Amino acid sequence: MNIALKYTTLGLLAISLSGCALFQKKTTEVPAPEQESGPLAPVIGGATIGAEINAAGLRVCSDAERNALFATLGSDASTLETRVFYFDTDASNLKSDAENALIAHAKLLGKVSLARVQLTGHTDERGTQDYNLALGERRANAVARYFAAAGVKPEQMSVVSYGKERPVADGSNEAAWQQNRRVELDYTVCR
Amino acid sequence: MSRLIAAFFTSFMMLFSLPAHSALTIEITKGLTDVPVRPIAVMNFAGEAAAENLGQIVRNNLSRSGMFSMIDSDRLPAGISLAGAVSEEALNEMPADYLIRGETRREGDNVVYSYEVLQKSDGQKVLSNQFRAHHSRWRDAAHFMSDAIYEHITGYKGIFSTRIAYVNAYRRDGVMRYRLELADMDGARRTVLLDSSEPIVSPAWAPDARRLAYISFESMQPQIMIHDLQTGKRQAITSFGGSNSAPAWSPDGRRLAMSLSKDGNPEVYVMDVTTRALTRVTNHPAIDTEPRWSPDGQSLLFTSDRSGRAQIYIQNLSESQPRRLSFNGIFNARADISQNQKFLALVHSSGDSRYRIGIMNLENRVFSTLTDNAMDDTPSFAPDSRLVVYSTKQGGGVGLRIESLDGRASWRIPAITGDLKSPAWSPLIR
Repeated sequence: MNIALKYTTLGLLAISLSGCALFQKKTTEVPAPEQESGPLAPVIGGATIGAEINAAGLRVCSDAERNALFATLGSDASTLETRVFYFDTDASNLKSDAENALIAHAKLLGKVSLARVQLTGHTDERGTQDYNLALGERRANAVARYFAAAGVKPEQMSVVSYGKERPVADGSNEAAWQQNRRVELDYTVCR
Repeated sequence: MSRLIAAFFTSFMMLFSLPAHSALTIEITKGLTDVPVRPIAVMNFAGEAAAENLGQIVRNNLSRSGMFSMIDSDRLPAGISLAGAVSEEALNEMPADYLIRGETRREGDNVVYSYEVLQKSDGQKVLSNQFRAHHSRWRDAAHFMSDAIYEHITGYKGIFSTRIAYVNAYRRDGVMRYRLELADMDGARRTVLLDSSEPIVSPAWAPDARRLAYISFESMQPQIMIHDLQTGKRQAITSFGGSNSAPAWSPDGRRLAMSLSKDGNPEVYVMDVTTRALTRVTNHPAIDTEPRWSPDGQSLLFTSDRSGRAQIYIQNLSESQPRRLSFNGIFNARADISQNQKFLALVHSSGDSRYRIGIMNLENRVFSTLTDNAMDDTPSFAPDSRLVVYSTKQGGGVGLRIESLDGRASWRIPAITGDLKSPAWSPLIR
């Protein structure tokens, strides 16, 4: 705050000085309006001290909580270990190899109505940031719609897209892109 | 000189005589490429020393613009020194059209800055100015002088005092963090506005250059924030369910265009910043995002994949249907329009898996690629309608590059640590 005040004061000082007598001592070629409006524009952002934000992060179930929840599904429990689903380039249709795991998660969520999941959509690095935020959301929604059709209640699911902001694989090649075009399913409540 | 000024005013008048609806059919024939590259000499400034010699900053600025060829001081005739009188003879001998000299003198907490431009042909001081400012503002002073000199010689507004906002994604203790930063257009004087554990995306300048809007994930959901750069005060202006993204200020600074998926899928909306009243602009099951205002405030450009892949559309706010603008290649997105309404800069892919910056000339619809990289994003025009900043993958990381439409200027703003992305060029700061 002290620094903020200091900068504000300096800004005012610079402006007030531009009108004083000393400043009139100028060569004739310079037009007068320049003197009155300036000389320097105010400091932009200079008074700001960058705040630090440390978000609590997404609260997800512990491994133990999740394993206990998965155990309620009996023999299907191992299928539930698949919690990342992959997509083709610029596509949001679910792939057939995801189906068994999706069915198992839907079954579990149908059985344990207090359980909650977050579906997080991601894209590869190609294309633009905001378009990819939309594409990641479309992917997460594709999973949410599948679950809804299988009887999962809307309040059990939340959807968020990070677009291309949170890749899991570096590199500009199909192998990396393939891993990044994904929806992650996280259990946030496991009761 | 008078010819240049006349040309400047001619294009200026043309700009103001445009009918309001004619965003895509305007005629501005004068381009900066009409201005010849001139040899100039910028001497180091005499007097009180700052951390960098102001003459060096002015020289770098003018050189970086690509509008001048720099003549080294050691090629100047003996009669030319940092200060004092210069004979007409010495001026006529110098291998430069203009000689630029300056001096700084400390007066208490202030510095008196003086500079002059001498022209070879008539040996006259064609520009001479003196001003004072707090000693801490020596870099602002150097950019201010660069702007004045550039405008005097070329007839075009200098943009050396403008700044670039961007996001620095970096690792701290192995964990990704996101800094919202500002830098001078030469990459110097970085200022951290915010340092967050969650992503920050798409900063956008208000036309008054006092506020930024951007997306922050700090609540674990995307929100559009407005950040007052004078007070540091931040405010979430949208927290709708689904995506809240791609903010863009209207030219009058009163409204924000944005993309929201609160009604099921991403649509373009306009929000009144004061009343928060929302108006829906698009209505289509496709992705509609990345709105940008035409400088007359009448139309919105946006990205939509309603044809199958992302392309650029334009919609007049008084009409209900958009018109498709881009037809080259398989992907065109995130268009930015130049202040003179003559060019679109966008992210383009011809289908070869490369994403490059493309330029569409709105006058004749000629499309060209500005860059030859593999992974470009987020082009943003400088207020001179000539320079474009964008992010690009280079080496292992993502950094910022600047190119001029005429190919004369090109430079890089390298990252100190991590990636630099989402650049947004400020308006002229007044």
